[in-house]
Amino acid sequence: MKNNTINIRNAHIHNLKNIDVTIPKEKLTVITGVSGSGKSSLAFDTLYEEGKRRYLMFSDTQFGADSVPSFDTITGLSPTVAVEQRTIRQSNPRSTVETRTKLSALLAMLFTSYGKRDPKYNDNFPLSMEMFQRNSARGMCARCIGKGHTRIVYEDKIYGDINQTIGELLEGKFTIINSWHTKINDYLKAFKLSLNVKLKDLTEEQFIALKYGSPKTKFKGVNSYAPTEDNTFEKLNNTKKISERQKLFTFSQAYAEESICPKCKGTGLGIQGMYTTINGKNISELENMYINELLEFLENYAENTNNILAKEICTKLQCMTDVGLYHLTLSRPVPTLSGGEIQRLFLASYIIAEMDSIIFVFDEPTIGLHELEKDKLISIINNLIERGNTVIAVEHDANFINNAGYIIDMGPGAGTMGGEKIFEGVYSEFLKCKNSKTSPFIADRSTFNIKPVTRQITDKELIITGADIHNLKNITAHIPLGVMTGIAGVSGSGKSSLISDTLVPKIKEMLKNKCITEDLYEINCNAELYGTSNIKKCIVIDQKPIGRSVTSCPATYTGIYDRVRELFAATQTAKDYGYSIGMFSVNSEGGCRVCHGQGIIKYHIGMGNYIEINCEACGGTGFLPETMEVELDGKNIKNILDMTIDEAAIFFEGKDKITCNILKTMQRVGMGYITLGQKTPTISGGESQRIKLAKELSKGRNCKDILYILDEPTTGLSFYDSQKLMDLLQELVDTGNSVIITEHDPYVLSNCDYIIELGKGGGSDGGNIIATGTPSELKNNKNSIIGGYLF
Amino acid sequence: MKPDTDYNIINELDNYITKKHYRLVNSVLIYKDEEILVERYYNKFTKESRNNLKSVWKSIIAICAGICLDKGYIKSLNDPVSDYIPIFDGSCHPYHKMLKVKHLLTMTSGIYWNGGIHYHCPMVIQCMRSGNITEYISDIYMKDIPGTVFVYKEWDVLLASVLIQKASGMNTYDFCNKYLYKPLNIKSGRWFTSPDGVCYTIPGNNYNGTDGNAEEAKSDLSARDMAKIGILMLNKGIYNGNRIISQNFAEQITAPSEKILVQKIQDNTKWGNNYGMFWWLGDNWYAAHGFGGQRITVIPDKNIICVIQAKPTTSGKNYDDLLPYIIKLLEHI
Repeated sequence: MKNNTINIRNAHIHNLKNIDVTIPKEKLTVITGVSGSGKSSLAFDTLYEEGKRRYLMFSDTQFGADSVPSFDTITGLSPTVAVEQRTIRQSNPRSTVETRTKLSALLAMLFTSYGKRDPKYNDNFPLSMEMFQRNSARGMCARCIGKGHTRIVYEDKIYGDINQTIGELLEGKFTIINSWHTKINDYLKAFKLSLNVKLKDLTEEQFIALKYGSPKTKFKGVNSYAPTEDNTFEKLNNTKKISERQKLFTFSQAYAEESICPKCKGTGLGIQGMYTTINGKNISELENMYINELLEFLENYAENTNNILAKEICTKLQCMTDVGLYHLTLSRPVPTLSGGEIQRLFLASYIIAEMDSIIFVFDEPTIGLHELEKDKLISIINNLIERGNTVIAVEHDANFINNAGYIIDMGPGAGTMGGEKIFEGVYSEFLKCKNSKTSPFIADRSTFNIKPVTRQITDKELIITGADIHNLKNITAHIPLGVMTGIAGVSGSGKSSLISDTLVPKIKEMLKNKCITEDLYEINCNAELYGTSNIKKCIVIDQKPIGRSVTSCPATYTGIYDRVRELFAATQTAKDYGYSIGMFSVNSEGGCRVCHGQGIIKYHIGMGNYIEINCEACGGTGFLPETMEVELDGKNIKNILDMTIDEAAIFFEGKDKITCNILKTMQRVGMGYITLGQKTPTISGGESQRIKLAKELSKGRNCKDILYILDEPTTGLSFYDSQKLMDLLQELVDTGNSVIITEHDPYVLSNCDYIIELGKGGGSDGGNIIATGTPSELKNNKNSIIGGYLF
Repeated sequence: MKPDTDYNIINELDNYITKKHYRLVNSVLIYKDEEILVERYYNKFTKESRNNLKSVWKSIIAICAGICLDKGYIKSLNDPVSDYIPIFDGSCHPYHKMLKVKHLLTMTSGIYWNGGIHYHCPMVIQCMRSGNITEYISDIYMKDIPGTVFVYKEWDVLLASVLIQKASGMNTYDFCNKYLYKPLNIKSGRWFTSPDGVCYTIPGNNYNGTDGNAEEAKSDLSARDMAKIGILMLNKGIYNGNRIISQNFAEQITAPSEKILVQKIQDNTKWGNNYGMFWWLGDNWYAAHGFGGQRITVIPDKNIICVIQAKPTTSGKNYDDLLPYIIKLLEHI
């Protein structure tokens, strides 16, 4: 008998409270609910993990380890594919859009087989695919080893004055010379020189060694420290990232330049690859075209030549355009893409595969999408379903839920307060559901707290003129201060170019260390910024992961861990045994010796697959047994890390004021459901951003004239949580601060006082300001695209 | 070979090679105390058969460089390379100004190298196709300061080959043939010479109408000819009473390089603990090594030279155990 449903019985992983669900096949099922209510536990940790395990078991590519099952039965499974946001967070920095989609290989094949060779460089020897791959030793330009650029040091500028002494050379150009670095001394010793020797008196060997280093000394030469424009001391000094080494050696002005490699002209390829063209363009030029332009170019070529390979590439490019990625270039590095863009990149590859009877599990696919693009995505998903696939999505978006064939609502709260099934059924029934925290928002739009009046726009403003980075078309933007400003526009329309690549670096340049960001921004825009005197401080909160170590977690990031360790070290038990604070960290003395504090051991089981087994020595805790014996009010360190923020807030009440303060702020940003010890790689971009926000907010209260810059802060939040977060941001503005939000969510934008909309398309179609004004003004503005979706 | 006595040794050796499945080994030759002790051929090889040199050629180039030095073609190993190859005067890369002849011979030029999987040398393929080997190498990114980091690579031996040709004014093969092969009575075909005049015995199919394998085969040597090179080294530069290279250079060529950490050259292969000048060094031995198991090993303490030749394929082994095994057999006589 054909099974038309997937039946899960008694799922109980994480906080799930013995859930039974019946998911129809060949339909779009949405799992919704407040953040932390157990949506992902059901969709990913139960359904997807089991689907994957079974598939891999019977195809003999992997053996499964016996683990305690997190459910009683699951029936009706077919092969399962997860399209998660978080899978991409550990991506390879060298991977690009084309390597991810394998289009690089197809393009290389196209050029190998059909490329037209320049007779001047044609050696009449067959081409090979590697010649079009700059990462291949056979294809790379030997001078820049495939990078496309080389470093040039202006030696005249550094050594031009040969009457200066070595000391003068270094002092004049290095900024801090408090203590001579051992390496310079090593050089002086190796060549029996002193700082008073003039450059003109150096022998050729000594001079060369001064410039470039020598086998005789550890000194790597002055040239190796010569900075480019962006790495001068002054610019680096504005960030905390400057190292001791840089402090000693960084010049006060630029003495070097990263310039386009003269040999390969920036292509990174050898001469055969560089001088082979398709319709007059080499592979590097194609890789740097926007996907929609490239598609047009290749369609043209494919039509004229009837080339099957080119048509194949066009099919792939068409899919990428369909999922809304037309504004990317193939050479774009994957780590610079937003979570939503990466998810769609994966989606594109599944669509190309044209499979049926697959179960797709999506994690918030509408993240980062404009309302227009959401419609497109829904039609793509419907397409997958029509082909006979089953799609299950964890999602908060109202429009998306509206299109679902079946809805499962989890709740009622987060963490231990959640894990129950509130509703299961079709959309029309869902709207009537009284217990759900989500359905009221969908059933009745007026449930949203939309501010009835917008704040008055004053003449205090930031003005950006001549912004022309990336696709921006030399625009001027007026950003009012003292209010909440929303930056809207379809993906690739230039929102990030305007804010992250123009405004933030400019503020950084002017406010220096009063501008708090995590990144080193490259200032390579020609834009001008006015009005920074109106702000005292600027806090940029992005979606980058909090911390890079596998053992990092919210507790470590917010500094709670440090406090907790001190509390533990102060207990009587710890004092009796002489345990220091290091005993309560997995990264220090307290870490299990076998698994190095990770709690799990990875075994390679062939074919690039790993299996993770709980460490036997520490029972999966990562801590030494001695550490676990120390208790604080009946809880050991592991118990505390397993607490949610909500639970911890109660536990630490009266124990530590600072910890409580941080925990309360975390609750205010809607992060009450997360556990203190949740591993960083499992924290979504939106969650990271809110943890960062909480960290900043807990530092100071009642501050005025601070500019907060946020990138899609409501990502991954349920309506209920979004509302809580918005209330917090409104509060910030009310106390005299300014907020700039890059956002797609109509609810968030409707609550802004002022909106700047970029558009109208992405890539070369974007880069203009198409509408500005209050939300109500935008609703009546014919040029505005988002206007029609506002509340 | 000594009559009768060593029948057992031969039998044991043959059994050992069969047992270990060393099907690619073509010849094993042991020379001790001025005579050939063991000489075994497999796979229809005879004492006239010639086998690929592979990187043993590097060690031969080192001897040629020594002859250049003795004859004054190269004044000093500390000479800048640009004295002989002007394009390395620093105009392409400032590090070239520091590049000395000895850096080439010790694999410490600092030129960027990517050997590819199984040391298939993808960059050399590109280099050969560029049409101008010297110019191509001068253009390559300089990764390290010359003289600081050992990286086993083809660039250094290619440049050494160019340098011998420029210094002597002779084709590198002609030079080798006149001053090394003829005095040692070694028979070899002409080495492949690229259109731009560079001798390189492993050209691959990188030139129009060139059969790389056929070209490479011309440089092949017999086991006995390989042994002669070992004898020359064992006797510190003298062969048959004639001095071929100065004792000074013969000693220098197998002296460990200073401060240089010898890294694995590919995958898991490490051919010695240290490196001299295109010769590998071990605890009590030095050796010329080539891909696929080619080797001339000299053990001065025991007065032993061992030559192994094998068919060079990626499934080839290093046959590291053969020599210790044979020495053990010999000690039991």
